[in-house]
Amino acid sequence: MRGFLSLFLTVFCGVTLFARPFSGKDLILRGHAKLENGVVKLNGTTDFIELAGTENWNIGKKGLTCAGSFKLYDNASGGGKKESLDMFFSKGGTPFIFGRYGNYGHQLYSNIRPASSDGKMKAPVMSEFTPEPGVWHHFAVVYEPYNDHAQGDVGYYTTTYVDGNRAGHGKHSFLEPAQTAGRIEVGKGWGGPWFFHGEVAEINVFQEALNEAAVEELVAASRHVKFRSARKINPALGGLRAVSPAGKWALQSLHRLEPERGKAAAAKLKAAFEAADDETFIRAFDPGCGVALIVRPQVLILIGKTGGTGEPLLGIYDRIGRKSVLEDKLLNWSFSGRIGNRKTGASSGDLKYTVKDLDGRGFTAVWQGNGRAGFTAESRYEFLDDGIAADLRIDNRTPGLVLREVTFPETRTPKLGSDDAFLYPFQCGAEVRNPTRNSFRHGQFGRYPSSTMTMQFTAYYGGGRGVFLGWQDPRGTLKNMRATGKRGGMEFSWQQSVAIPLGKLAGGNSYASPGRVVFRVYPGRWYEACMLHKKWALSHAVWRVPVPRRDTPEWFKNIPAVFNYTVINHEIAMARFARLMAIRNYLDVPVYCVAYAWNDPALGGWPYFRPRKFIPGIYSQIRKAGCVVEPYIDSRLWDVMDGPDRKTDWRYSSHGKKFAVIDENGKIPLEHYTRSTYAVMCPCVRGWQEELFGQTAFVRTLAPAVYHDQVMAGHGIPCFNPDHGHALNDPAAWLDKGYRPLFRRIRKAMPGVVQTSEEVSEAYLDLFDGGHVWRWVFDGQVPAFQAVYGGRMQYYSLVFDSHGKGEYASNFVKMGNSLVNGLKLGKFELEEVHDADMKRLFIKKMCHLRQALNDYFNNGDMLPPIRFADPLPLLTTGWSTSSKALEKVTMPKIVSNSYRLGDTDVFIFVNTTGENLSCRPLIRADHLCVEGASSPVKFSSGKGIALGPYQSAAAVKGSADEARKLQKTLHRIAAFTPGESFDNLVRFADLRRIAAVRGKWLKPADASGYYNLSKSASGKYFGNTVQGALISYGVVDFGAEKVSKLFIRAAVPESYSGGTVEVLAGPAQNSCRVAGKLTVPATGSWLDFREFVIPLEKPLTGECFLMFRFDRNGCCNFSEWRF
Amino acid sequence: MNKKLFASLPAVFAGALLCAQEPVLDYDYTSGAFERRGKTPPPVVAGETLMAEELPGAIRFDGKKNFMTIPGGKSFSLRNGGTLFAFVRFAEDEEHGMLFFKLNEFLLGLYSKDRLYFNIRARGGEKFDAPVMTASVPRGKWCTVAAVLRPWKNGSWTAFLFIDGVRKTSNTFRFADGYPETKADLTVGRGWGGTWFLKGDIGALRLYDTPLDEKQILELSDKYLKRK
Repeated sequence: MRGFLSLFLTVFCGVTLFARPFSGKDLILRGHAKLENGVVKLNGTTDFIELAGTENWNIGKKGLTCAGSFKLYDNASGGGKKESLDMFFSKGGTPFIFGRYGNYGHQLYSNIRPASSDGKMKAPVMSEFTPEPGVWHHFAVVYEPYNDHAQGDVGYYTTTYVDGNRAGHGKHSFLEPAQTAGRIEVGKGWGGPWFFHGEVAEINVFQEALNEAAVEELVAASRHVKFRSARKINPALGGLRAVSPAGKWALQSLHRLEPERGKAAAAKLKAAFEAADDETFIRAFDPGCGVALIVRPQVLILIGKTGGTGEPLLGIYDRIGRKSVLEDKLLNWSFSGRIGNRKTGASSGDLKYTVKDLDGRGFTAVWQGNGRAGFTAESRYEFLDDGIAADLRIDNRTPGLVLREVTFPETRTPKLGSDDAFLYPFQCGAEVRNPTRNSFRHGQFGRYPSSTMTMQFTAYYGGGRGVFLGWQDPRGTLKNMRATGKRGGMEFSWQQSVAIPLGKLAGGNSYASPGRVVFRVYPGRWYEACMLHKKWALSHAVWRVPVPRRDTPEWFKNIPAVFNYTVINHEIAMARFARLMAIRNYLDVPVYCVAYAWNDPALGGWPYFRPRKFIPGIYSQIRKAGCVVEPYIDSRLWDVMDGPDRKTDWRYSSHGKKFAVIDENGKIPLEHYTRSTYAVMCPCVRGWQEELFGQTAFVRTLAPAVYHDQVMAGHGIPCFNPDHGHALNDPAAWLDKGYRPLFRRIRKAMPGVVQTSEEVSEAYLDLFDGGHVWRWVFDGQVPAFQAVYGGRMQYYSLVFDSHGKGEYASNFVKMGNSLVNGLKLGKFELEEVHDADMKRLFIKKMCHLRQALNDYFNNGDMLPPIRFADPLPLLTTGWSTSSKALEKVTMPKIVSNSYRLGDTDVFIFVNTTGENLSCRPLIRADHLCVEGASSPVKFSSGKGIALGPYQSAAAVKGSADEARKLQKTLHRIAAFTPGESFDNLVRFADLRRIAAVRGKWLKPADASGYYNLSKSASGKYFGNTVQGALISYGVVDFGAEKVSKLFIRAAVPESYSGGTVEVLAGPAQNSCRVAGKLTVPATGSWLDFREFVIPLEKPLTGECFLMFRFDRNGCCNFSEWRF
Repeated sequence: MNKKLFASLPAVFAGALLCAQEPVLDYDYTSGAFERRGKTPPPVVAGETLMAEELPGAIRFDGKKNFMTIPGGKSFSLRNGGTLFAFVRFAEDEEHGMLFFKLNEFLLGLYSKDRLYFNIRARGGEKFDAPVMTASVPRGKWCTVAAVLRPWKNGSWTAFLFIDGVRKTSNTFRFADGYPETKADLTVGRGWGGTWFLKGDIGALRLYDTPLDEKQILELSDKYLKRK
């Protein structure tokens, strides 16, 4: 039945895809529309189609895709008239439209009406389109939501396609599309001239945003639209066959030559094509065939020798993998620009080129643009042992031509095996499996340098071999990367804006690539690609720093855990301080505190950060306890209402506005967070740099660390403000001429002060000591950034339960994964560790293990991912993220990684579940250290590693001393307990200062307060002690002479004897440590008080907080003490 | 034996078997020191309390700031029935003294000077709306008080009140939307705050997550009353 019903409605709901044949209930034909042979004819005046059941289908959180095959009848003869307008898709109430429009109908046009608008549509996307009347075409529009709320960027993308090829693309920030209850319509829109005139078939509507590969599949499945491959076909080569894999590749590559040249070359290569294997093919290759075969150890490269049209590079062949790895798009380039108000552009694929200086090292290709836009493009190619490198210059010979954007390179690699994957340096790194069909759920469009593109390379791999495509731009200028799975392969393109010097605003600007691109083949997967990039980055990039990194304080490198200490009033500050000190004492490690909202809004808005009154005092107390607070500032934005309490425009218009970015439309980009609006500032202008320098200098007076929000994470925006003194649209202005000199100045002026920012991006490596990588909480992540840069940057720390609440089991895998990949533990909210539970215990274990491994994380090199003899069991849990939504993340139940430091390799394993598990790593190690064991054992790959619930282990190759050291930690952490709940935190009634006198007894009346015990009604003693009960004597001044013992009087009957009284002393109440202890023997009864001596571990002098703690219920009655 | 009790004999028997289990909470101050048995950790006491110097020992609450929070009390409930028990000496001038309190779930305390008062949220709203009270609670003297909540097979529930081990009154009701389980703190000595603190001495506290029968309540009561 389905065979003859070619017009159908495909419905996508949730994750269930089902296609059902058309029935009369699905399509409602209006006017005179009729269905015949699977095609509906629409008359252009009254006819249209409604899709039944689509009343609730709007552009929503899952997106929307409308696609179909259309045959236009009109050739668009009249601008703005009926013939030039045809609507493809719209919806009752017109919340969106997609059709053809513009002067003479030469444009595809999509638009969306916002929910809050006055009825007008405000999200247009237009693209050039040449109508072909009488020919079937496939048109599709995809509305895709995006949500980067942490960067103030939420909205929709619109992408339009013609015959499966991307035609138009637009981003609509802060758009909330209107929702209507009308049906989705085909061929109507507003009616009148918009009625579609022609034929319609194969309508597909999805309640989700399809990716490019899926749209292409619709086209491929069409009965009407002829699928047009981008691949060039030379019919004259159709009858030729080659035997060897390299011969087949070479024959296929000849299709990219002009037909006659291809034919002539093939004729001369006949013998080579008959060669049985690659080596014979190489030997038989006739150098007189008109193309050059470059033979390198790992690749073969085919070059058009003299000149021609398009690309001189015809193909690259991987000699080890025996595959073609670069085809169709071969380091293509294109540019767009304007002459006056008219858009213009050129592409290497359409231009004639000449080749010069071809030798064994490389060649130069030259393209001439001789039309209205005159230019010369030149690319120098260098042959590598494993690939090719190229740069690009475009010399603009037209004074009126303004170059705006250059796309270079565009490449395409065919599918590389059934286990293929794509490494996208999004955040720490995302690995997308089966990427020719699947897309990364957070998009595959990255802006470098930012959190969406943290390193300037990508890799695609499968079958044991991979291709590496990377920029070697040593200064890290802005560029965009797009990766697309398409036609059974992967396509990559990079785009860069072109600087417009102030003297050439009317035109004549040229482009020189800020480095070169390299395309290489390699053995391996994501890690090996990282190593290729690492070798270049750590030897050539301006951001390279050595390890050990000397300009980052050791305390920051070694601090293992991060907590949020955000307080907005004194009461909360004190309560959280008590919790912070409690957890710090429990963990028994220093704690790093991130602090937001410390600034008093009543004193002024961003970027004027001045503290609330109580902040300096409390920060000082935190430092005394050995912890560090890192105050937050935003070094990218200016609040447009920056007066006290955000009620007025105080300094924005008078001081800030002139330093803001101006975009290409002449507007200041604004970002919105909750109810506030902020302007994006230009880092390349002196005034804003001074503001930031001053702000940083102020914050350092409060704390030894300053957090600069958004700088590393945010997308740089090319600025068009001619008053700033920099070239317009300059991709180097944001970082290289902006943030880099600023932060170098800051670091020089404030040595020893930790400078951090949001997330990480390599080009900022030398400017920041750490990155707050809170959003590394996505599925498919790999530690690519750490593999390249290791301890040159400190990674702190994942978001836990500050925005949403993750599944309990996710806490362990997040922490385990953090540990093995070199992240600090956290960032936890203090409320998350309220209970004395397994989560808290695991934090403590991980902290101590991290301390033991700090040298490896800070100074070592990450080794390849550990392989296992048997697949590790997987665990999928809901991770809390930067929003309330959880993300399902799948990880092995045992997480692992390995590092090399000097001659020692260490392999780390963490069981992140409550199960007993085992694994058999395929590693070479000498010693095995398992949690709880007293000494290392000999590592045996056959025996594997058994891990109890939430246990860790480390295998060591090399130093036995190192194994013993790690074992000591693994033995110690096995004895950790969850500690005490915050329920037990104490605030005493008073804080007294006692100038104690030697020999004088201090009574209950002298106490500052007591907790979880009672004072006798007569006031003579304390009793009813509960485990952990405390008596505080406030601040006691012991004077200058050392006090080495205290005396107490206590009473306890025989049946209760054996409890312990501890003396606690320290610089602050909540950072007191045990100074001495006494086990109380029986005295007779609860009222038979006797005197006891408590020797002190360290003598006390001067002032300190003093408390007594009782270790159990009914420990003793306590009456007084002295020294 | 009325019809309802007859029908519930198997349940009572089952309850008698179950209550052989340890109490969930067992705090005892009567020997002159704090003793703890049962599964529940020691309490967290708010404010500075006094202790009686004579026997029976006690923790003395001031009726203003003192109260205790029971660790793990958030998960304690009477969803399968249960027993709240205290050996207590209400101050002579106490008017409203709270013993056990879980916000929006249940309470047991002294109301209007001499009434033992139990209540529970039964109708799904935010109010306690199944009260049961009995008069003649002694003040200035040691006594035991207990509330037992027992479910019946027909879906109804009965709350019984005991003073010095003697059953005084009961109230039978139904939960409109099932047992009103919350994650509120379980406190002793403080209800909503204000006048709802406890002024007096606590000698012992017990919680069971099963309903004790009358004989068991009497035995328990006698055990403590002997210490007066």
